[in-house]
Order: sequence, then structure tokens, then C-alpha cells
Amino acid sequence: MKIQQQCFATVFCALAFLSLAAPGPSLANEQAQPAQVAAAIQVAGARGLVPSRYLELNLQELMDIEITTAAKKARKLSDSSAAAYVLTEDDIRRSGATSIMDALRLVPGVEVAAINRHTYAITIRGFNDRFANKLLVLIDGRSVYTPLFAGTYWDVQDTVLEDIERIEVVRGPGGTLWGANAVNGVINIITKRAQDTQGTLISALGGNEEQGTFVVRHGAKIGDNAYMRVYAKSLEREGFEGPTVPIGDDQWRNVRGGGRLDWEASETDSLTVQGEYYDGQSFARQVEPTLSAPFTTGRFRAETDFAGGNILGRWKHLLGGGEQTELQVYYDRVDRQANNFNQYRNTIDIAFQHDLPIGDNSELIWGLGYRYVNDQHSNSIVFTLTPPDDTVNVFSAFIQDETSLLDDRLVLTLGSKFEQTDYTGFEAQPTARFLFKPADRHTIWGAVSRAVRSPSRVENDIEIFSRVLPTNALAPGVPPSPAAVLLRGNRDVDSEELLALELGYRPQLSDTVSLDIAGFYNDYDTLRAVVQRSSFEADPRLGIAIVADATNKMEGEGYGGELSADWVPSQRTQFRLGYSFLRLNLRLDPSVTVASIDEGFEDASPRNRAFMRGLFQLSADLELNATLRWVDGFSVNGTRVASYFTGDLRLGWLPVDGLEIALVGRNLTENEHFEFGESAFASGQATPVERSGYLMVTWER
Amino acid sequence: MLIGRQHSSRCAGRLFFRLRPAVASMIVTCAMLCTSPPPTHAQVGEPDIEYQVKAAFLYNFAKFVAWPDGTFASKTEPLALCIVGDDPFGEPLHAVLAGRKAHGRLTLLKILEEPTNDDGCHIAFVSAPDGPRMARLMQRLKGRTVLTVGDSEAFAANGGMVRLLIENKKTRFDINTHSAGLVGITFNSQLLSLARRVRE
Repeated sequence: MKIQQQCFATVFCALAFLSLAAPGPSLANEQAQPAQVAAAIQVAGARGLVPSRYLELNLQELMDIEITTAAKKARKLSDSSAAAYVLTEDDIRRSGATSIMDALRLVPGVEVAAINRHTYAITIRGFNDRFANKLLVLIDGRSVYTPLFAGTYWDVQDTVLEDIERIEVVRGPGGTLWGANAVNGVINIITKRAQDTQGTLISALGGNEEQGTFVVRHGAKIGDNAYMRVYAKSLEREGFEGPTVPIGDDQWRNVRGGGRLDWEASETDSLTVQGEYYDGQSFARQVEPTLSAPFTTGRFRAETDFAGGNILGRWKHLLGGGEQTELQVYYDRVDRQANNFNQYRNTIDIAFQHDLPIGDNSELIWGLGYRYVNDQHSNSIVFTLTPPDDTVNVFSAFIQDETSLLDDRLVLTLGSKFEQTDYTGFEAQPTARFLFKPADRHTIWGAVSRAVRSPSRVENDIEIFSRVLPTNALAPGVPPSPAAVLLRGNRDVDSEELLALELGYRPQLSDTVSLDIAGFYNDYDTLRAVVQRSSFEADPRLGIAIVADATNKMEGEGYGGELSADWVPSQRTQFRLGYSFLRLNLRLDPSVTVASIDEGFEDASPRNRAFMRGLFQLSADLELNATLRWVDGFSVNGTRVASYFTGDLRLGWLPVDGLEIALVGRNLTENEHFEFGESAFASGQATPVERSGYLMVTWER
Repeated sequence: MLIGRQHSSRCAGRLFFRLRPAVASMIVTCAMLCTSPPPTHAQVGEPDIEYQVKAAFLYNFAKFVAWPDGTFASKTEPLALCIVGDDPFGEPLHAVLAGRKAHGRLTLLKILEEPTNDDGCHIAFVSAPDGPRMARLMQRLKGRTVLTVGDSEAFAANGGMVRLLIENKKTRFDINTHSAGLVGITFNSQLLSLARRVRE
């Protein structure tokens, strides 16, 4: 065993340092090449006699050339009147991310914080929490946010990362097209079509924290213009062990399998059917009140068992002249059993969309949607939902027009989403946007939008027995008795509202440098605030209860901006920079005289965050990715999370066609650091993120 | 199995803990700074391989397509390749496409934001974001004896004649002989046989 250890260490060190030493002479040679090309082209312009290696090829040969994804094209967002960013397949692979959550760290403006190995707090433009509720996450058009708390259970959101074509992130309200909950942003994860994942892929990954991730995927042609793929993936992460948190207990296991079928049934019709099933477990140290002396709040190892699946069908029909319709239907099943609180949820969602060009300069998109959600819960000592079973119907419609003026230098977008829910009634979410190109390579855009977040099932119906206060904690004059602290939802809770102003500028400074700057001012109203009652209530368990109710008695503003810069000095070298700034000011209604935990969101996001990425093609078969990340300090539920600065390195070696060996080191600058704290709403104990490393082998043919 | 689970875990763990923070920090920083190449302006604008290949396809199409009689005023009139709308090729590729021979004619390259009836295009590569602009560009080319080539779904939906697409990392193309037939453009049978799909 000792020999193996030494061997691994030696290989790692050798590779790490070789990679630093290597670039000198070999790169210098290869960099001479573009210079020759550039010179040759000038000659071509003059004489028109240049040999181009591709131009001499015949069609058959051209069809055999492998095209690596053109990041530039996939990233082409200069025509979007929103703060949008695209993470490409190449970005994800070269980052060394082992989960969707980790990949999102590379998107400017997305706050990603691991609470423990499997539970993440992810948001955009503030209000971060394990139960962050102002972000909509979609995987292939399927909404994965849970209506239980209007957030995302990140521990079940996974897929074969190699099959992700791109992750589109829109910062700011996306309510017009996407609907409620796209208040502060939308994350849209899009997997590849089956025709783009033909052949077999096998990958294995293991390290000190990653205990083994195995992927098998196979794609095949099954008929005329019909392709399919099937896949299976398993992952396991080791729990935290260390002096900072003596008992980490945050292991994570997940197994999933699924498939996708893409069929271009005719020139005008294409059909996609995809489905997935997953099953796994995660652990966390949770708190639970003790009902006997000494009446404190204990901590114990809680196991969460989750399983679920979904099946989705999409039919796209081209009508000619740019007109098209799309119909999408999916069914999603979630089964999650945690700490005696069990939930089962069935969702059926139907969406129809029609794109209709009007005249020469205008395009109308409209759509209709219906969602049916049926849930069943079994209550625990900590969580009680009343009623335990419920059904919600959501009807929605949207319409949006995009008109180009002044030879396409000005594009105006007007639209609105309309939603009718059982809980809050009718909601409209309009937006008005412009995009202006005053000159080539300069784009200015701006938007005014209204967005709403409908209350979640928890805010309507829950009672959380959050902790027990021993007698001595009570106010004088009250009979001595232990007291239960209860957080209670109610059906009078209304939607949270946002009016957002955004402005952005995207200059292409040169052929190699581009910038994207976005600023926003968010005016929030009727925000949720859990407010403590002034009087006590009788409690059958302990005698007395201190009750805090969900209200809408908070308002506030958020403002800030994000900057991203790309510098691509050559095809072998790319640098990316991301910086974001955020301030939130939250105020409780003057009628509220006690503190509310929701005010804490003001400090729950770092004010400044920055990252820098360098992607280097060291030689034909060796690539290096280095990332530096800096996050400002902030507070979660009264606990300070210190500022941290860390870095990741990934060295990828492609010795033969189809084989890739990657060595990855993460969080290399420190032994460990916390990225978030334990939230007020039962997130489980927070554990630090450690320095870690893994080796990954991928084989594809 | 790559590396035994237990072994890999402990081995890597010990290694990483042995690296002192300062050293690790240096590695990361150094990796970013040391490998950054000396900025020479000659490296600028090396075209994407995708568009190098697509440019080659565009040139090849010129050789496998026949325009109706009378399209060219003379036997020596150059064949005009036009890039219409956005230009995904970039300058280096312009030089590659211009001044070559196809059908015994010299190729001429034009970059047009908008097509006009007197632009003289014989082949138009149409590129624009999905939306009204694409629809308008295609509308302006409609009814003209111009072979339209594009690489987006919106292009095909608007009656584009040859659509390039990437499937499983390889370039493929669909041909709409109906659209082409309306203006008398015909395709060589070899080209048709290589198409992923032919719409009649």
C-alpha cells in the first residue's frame, strides 16, 4: 500500500511540475504558427492563391473532420437583452467540476456555497440559503425547483456531465418566459441531442473526497434519423472528518440511469423523449428538540433517502417562414424521506409555444401552460404540514414580441407572463427590454421587469418545531416552563414582488478581448418575514410555545453589478475573469417590533466575489486549467463565514484519440474553509470544504 | 478499477495535506502566470476550425451546383460568394474564399449586412440570430437565383436551401431541393447522395 501511495504522489507531483516547466520551448515553437498563417493570408488577399488545408479536401473528407465545440458561437450572447452567460461543454470539462453545482462556480454572478458535501446554497443576486427561493432551475425544460420550499434540492440534480451541451444562466428576472420563481435568475441546463452522443463513453473518477464516480453511456442510431442514448452513473462522496467539525457525517451516494431518444420524424417534425430514474442517500447532522429534561436541542445523524424519476416528451413542428410550434409534456416523481419527514410529489406539466414572425421585423412568441402538483407528506416531530396532502393547479400564459428597428441596431422586446394559481390567484409579470448597437462591437441593453415569487407549500402550511428553550430563557413574569419555538406558515401569505431595473454594456474591445458589464437595481416588496408573536401560546408538549408566523412584512432593495471579461490571446490560451458586487438592504414593517431571521439575508451574501480562469493548451495532447476564486466574508444566521481565497488546477492528457486522463486538485491554497453556515431553516450542520484531489479517466469511441 | 478506493483516498489525502498552503498557492498562481504566453499580435484571429471547415463546404457547394442558364452574363463572370447578415467566418477566411476557381470562374467574396436585388450574389451564406432578422434576410433572398447556405435551424425553417449542421462532432448538411427548384438551382447527384437529408 505504501508503494502505491508514493507512486500516486510522485506521479502527481511530476505532472504538476512538468506542466509548469513544459510550456517554455515547446509553446514557443507552436506559437510561431499563427504568425505564419496571418502573414500568408495577407498574400492571399493580394493574389488569391493560398493553399488552405481544408479547401483542398473533398466533401467526403470534410465530413470526417471532427469539430470541437466552438465556444465562441455557443457563447454568442451579444444579441441578448439580458444579463446572460453560457457555460459550454468545454468550460465544464476543463474546470474539473464533478457536479453541476461546482460547474456553476464559474459563472459570474452565481453564488455557489457548499453547506456540506451534498447540500448547497445557490442563488443569484442575493438571498442565499439552503432553501434559496428566488432562482429557477431547469434541466432540459423541466423545472427542478420544489414547490415545497420554492428552492432546489441540489443533491439530486445531476446527470452525466459529459452529456451537458451547455448551461445558460440568466441573471435578473426571467419571469416573462419562465414564470414564477424566476425572480433573481434562471439556470437552464441543456443536454446534448442523442445524435451528438453516439458511441460509447466510460469514465471513472476517484480521489480523497470523491470516493468514486462511474459513468457508462452508449449512443446508437436506431432508424432513419432516429438516435438514442442510455446511461448510468454512480457517485459517492466521503464525509468530512477533521478537527474543525469532529463529526461530519455528511456522506453522499447517488445512482442514476436514463436515456434519450431524438427522432427527426420528417423535415418539419422532431420528437424528443427522455427519462431518468435516480436513487441515493445523504447524511447530515441535524438538530432536533428534546422533549425531556434538560430540554435542549440535540444533534444527531439524519439519513435522507431520495429517489425519483421523470419522463419528458417534446414535439417541435416547423410551419415554414420561421413559424414553429412546440409542445412539451413531462411527468416528475419525487420521493424523499428525511428524518421521519417523508414527502412524495407528482408533477405533470404541459407547455405549448408558438413562434410567429410578423412582417419583416417582428416576431411574436406566445404560449400556454398547465401544471398539476400533487403531494403527500408524513409529518415528523420537527415538521408538520397541514394538510399533509395537497393538490395545486397552475395555469399560465405568456406573450412576447420582439421588434427590430433601425436596420437591427435597435431591438425592442415587450412581453408578459400571466399565472393563475390556487394559492395566490392571478399574477402578471411584464417586462420591457431594449438592445441597442450604437456601433459595431458595442451593445447596450436595458430592461424594466416585474417578477413574483409565489409562496411555497412550507410558507402556507408548515409548522417547524425549531428548538426548545429551557425555563431560564423565558421572560420574567411567565410561569417557569420549557418552551417550544414554532415557525408557522399560513395561507394569508402573499407573493413576493420585485421590480427590477437593469442596464448592460458589452463592448468587444479588440479581436481578443470582450467585456460584459451588467448593473441592476432591485426593488422588493412584500418579502417573506417570519415574525415572532408578542404573546405565548399553550403547547401540549411543553406547556408553552413561542410562535413566529410567516408574513409579508419586509421590503428592501438590492443593487450591484457583474463584470465578466474574456481574453483569448490565441486558440491555445484563454483567460476569463468574473467579478460581482452586491448590496442588499432589507427593512421590516414598522409595526414589527421584534427581530426576524429573514432580515439576516441582508448579510447572507458576500459583497464581493471574483474569479480568474486560465485555460492553456500546453501541447497537442496536454491541457491545463487553473482557477483562482476569492469570496468576501459574510454572515449566515449570525455566524460569520470568513473571506476565502482558493484555487483549482486541472491537468488533462489526451494520449490517444478517445482517451483522456485528468488530474485535478481543488481548493489547493488552504487545508479547509467554510463556504456557508447552518441556515435557520434546518439545513443540517455545515462542514468545511477541504483541499482535495482526484484522478479521472474517460474513454470514448 | 483505476486505483483502489481506500488507497487513492488516503494517498491523495496525505499528499494534499503535506503541501503547505503557501506552496499550493504558488502552484496555482504560477500556473496562471507562468503559462501565459507572450502576447504577440500575430496570434490574433486564428479562425475556429468549425468555420474553416464550413468555408471549405461553402466552396465545395459552388462546384456541385448548377444555376439556370442566363444567370451568368458571360463565361468569365466571377462567381459571387456572399456572407449575408452576421459574419461568423472572420477576415482570415475571407481571404481564403476569395480568388479561387469554381466552374472555371474566379470566386468573388462579398460581405453584406443586407442583401439587395442588385448585389450580384450567386451563393449566400446567411447567418443571423433566430428571430425576425433571419426571417427578413431570407425573405429578401426569396425568388432570386441565389443558392442559400446556412447553419441554423431558423435558416432551414425559413426555406434555406443547404443547411450545415454538426452532428456528433462531424459536419453534415441537409438540402432543400424544393426551395432550390423554385428558382431553377439544381444539385449534382453526388452532393445529394452525401446529404444527411434531402427535402423534395
